[in-house]
Amino acid sequence: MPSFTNQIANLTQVGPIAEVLVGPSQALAKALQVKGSAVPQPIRVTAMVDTGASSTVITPSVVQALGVQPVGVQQMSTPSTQQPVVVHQYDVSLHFPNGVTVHGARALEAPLGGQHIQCLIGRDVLQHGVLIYIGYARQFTLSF
Amino acid sequence: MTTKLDTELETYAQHKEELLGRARERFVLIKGSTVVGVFDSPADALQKGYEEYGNEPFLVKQVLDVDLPQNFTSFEVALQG
Repeated sequence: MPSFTNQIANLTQVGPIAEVLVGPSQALAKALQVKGSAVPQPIRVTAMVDTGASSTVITPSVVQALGVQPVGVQQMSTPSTQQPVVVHQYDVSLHFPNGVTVHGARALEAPLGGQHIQCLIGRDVLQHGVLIYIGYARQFTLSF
Repeated sequence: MTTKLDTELETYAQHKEELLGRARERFVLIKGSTVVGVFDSPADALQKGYEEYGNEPFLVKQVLDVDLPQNFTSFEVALQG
């Protein structure tokens, strides 16, 4: 099972973060290749693993840079919303360190308050893997 | 809120009762005012959408009586509403 481990000096403050490449899903990339169309290139983001998120999230700036189009909508409920907010949903691939890749993640588009991250890795992705958080060692491991 | 898929959402609303009757819990692909098809998995619906429309907006949606929101308990998401 491919995995990667990140050691973060101030893990409590910044959270379990990792540099991740967000790209078009494998299905979209293949379809565009067949049509002879340009395939959007993956872009590098800082992502945080968030077990409090039921879905993966990418920011509007990531969506714009990637140039992909929505394939769905979802309602989002957060501590700062009075009622669910409708947001776009995108079909993307997530490339973690050490060759760990998740194809076909359905990411929601929303702004993130923490300026140091552009992506949340939610439970929709975590359901396929193993997350080990070793607080006293200031490290976490993610396996798929 | 206005989305890039407002026409597709309107189409879904117009066909929802019929879809619930014949395709409950399956996944519908809608482009504009056209219900393109119904599929067993979202991956199959996306595949068809990409083959037909490439990198254009289209709607893949599970056919359900009630759509539940995605929940976020942390304050990382900065939505207002």
